[in-house]
Amino acid sequence: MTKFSYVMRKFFGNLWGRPLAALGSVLSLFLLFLLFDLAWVGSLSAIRFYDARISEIDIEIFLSDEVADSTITVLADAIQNIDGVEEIQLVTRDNARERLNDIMGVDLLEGMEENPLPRSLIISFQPNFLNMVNLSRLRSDLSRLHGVDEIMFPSQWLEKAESTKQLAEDLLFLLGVLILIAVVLNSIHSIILTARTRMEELLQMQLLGAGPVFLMIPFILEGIFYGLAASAAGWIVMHYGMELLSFRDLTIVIPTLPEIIYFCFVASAIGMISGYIGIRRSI
Amino acid sequence: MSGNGSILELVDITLTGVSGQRMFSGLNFGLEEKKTAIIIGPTGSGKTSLVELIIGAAEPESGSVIIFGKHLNARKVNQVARVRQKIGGVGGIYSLISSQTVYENLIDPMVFRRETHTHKRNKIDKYLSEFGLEAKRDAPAGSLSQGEKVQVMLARAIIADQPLLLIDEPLAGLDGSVRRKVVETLRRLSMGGHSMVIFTALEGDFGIPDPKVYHLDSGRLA
Repeated sequence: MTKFSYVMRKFFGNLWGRPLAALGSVLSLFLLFLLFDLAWVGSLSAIRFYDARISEIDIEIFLSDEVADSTITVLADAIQNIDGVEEIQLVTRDNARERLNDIMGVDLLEGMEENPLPRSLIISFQPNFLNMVNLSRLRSDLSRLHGVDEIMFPSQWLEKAESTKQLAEDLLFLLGVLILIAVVLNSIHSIILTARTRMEELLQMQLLGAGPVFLMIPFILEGIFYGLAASAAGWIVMHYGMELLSFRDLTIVIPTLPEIIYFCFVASAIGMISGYIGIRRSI
Repeated sequence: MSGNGSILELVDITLTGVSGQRMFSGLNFGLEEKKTAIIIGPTGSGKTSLVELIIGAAEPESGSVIIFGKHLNARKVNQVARVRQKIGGVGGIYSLISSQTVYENLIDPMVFRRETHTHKRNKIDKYLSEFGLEAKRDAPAGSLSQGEKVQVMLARAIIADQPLLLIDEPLAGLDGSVRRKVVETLRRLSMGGHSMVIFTALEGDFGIPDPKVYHLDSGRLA
């Protein structure tokens, strides 16, 4: 038997020698990772939902009376050149009157010699462009343009949407940290239990000349196995679970395959570190 | 090895036990290659502490442990591991791994040797035959009798060509024919040129020709 075959034999021996303990460890880690996956998917879906709603927002700017009808095109061109602007629609005084009629049901301006309603430009934006940062920059750019009287948009709603999105991200981060701690503690505990059941063997192998690194490797591999198996199982269950779900107004967003692979890699690394800490405390 | 053929030297060793009592003070000991030393001392006299010093499991407050010609530093884990690979241990802190079979226990010290698996297997079969343990090859070590355990430990102590054997109370708990069998094995190992240190509480005949006998008393060897 070589060092390699010894290490592999001990690694598999740790798992098959205590199958219920190994299964229990993988299952508990699987549940923790599944919780994390759910939070991740939930957060991504909530962010996508808010982004979609925010993208639908249009800004309306009202033009001052000083702006001649003939120069509106120049102003519209200047706005069109601003980053993120997709389309501009001119609302003339007559259009504004029609819109007011549609809203009120009667022509409130009937009998008036002159139409006092202002002209405006309705600006729509490229998908995923609008957020509070871009919006404040845009607002500043627009307000600097000559002839812009007032800028209208649902700022309060947008602020709420932004803060809700931020809350979802913060919750995911907090949950992620808590789950990470739980995963590390759970893995360390499992490795310590495995090491305790093999304490006699570890002591004798040390007396026969096995170095600490050599003795640690099977336990570190065990930690990697727990992390990888539990995280991969979590995503497999998520994948099939999400296929069964559908919502009318909400698109379920699942992380991309490279992100999932990266996640499983990180879970394995956490398992490896936990395995190292667990066995380091025992020998 | 050092120039004078010494395989093990303990020079002016001072060691305090975990409970704070002085175990050794100015202890000196030497073992030449292919020779056997028998250290006799009652329970609690420090025989196990002596073994721990030799294998680097304990570090003396002063003095040196020179083994295989090199000063042993108990803090250097790699050096300690390499030294331990050259020591075969029987009894005391050395025991068989009860959950493993006899075969697995015998292959453990050979894990660190660069030999083919076939060569290692043949060697185990040879030693099992030599020690009369063929029938126990796949038996769990925990199921063996005390005499069989000592025989397997003796086989394990030499199977990886370890140049130094540390044997702690080899005859404890043995009687009659088993005792004679172990004594015969020890004599054979001594005649075969193995360097051995035998630790025992009671004086007895190990059948070893011309051993150096020491008495461990009050932390000194005489």
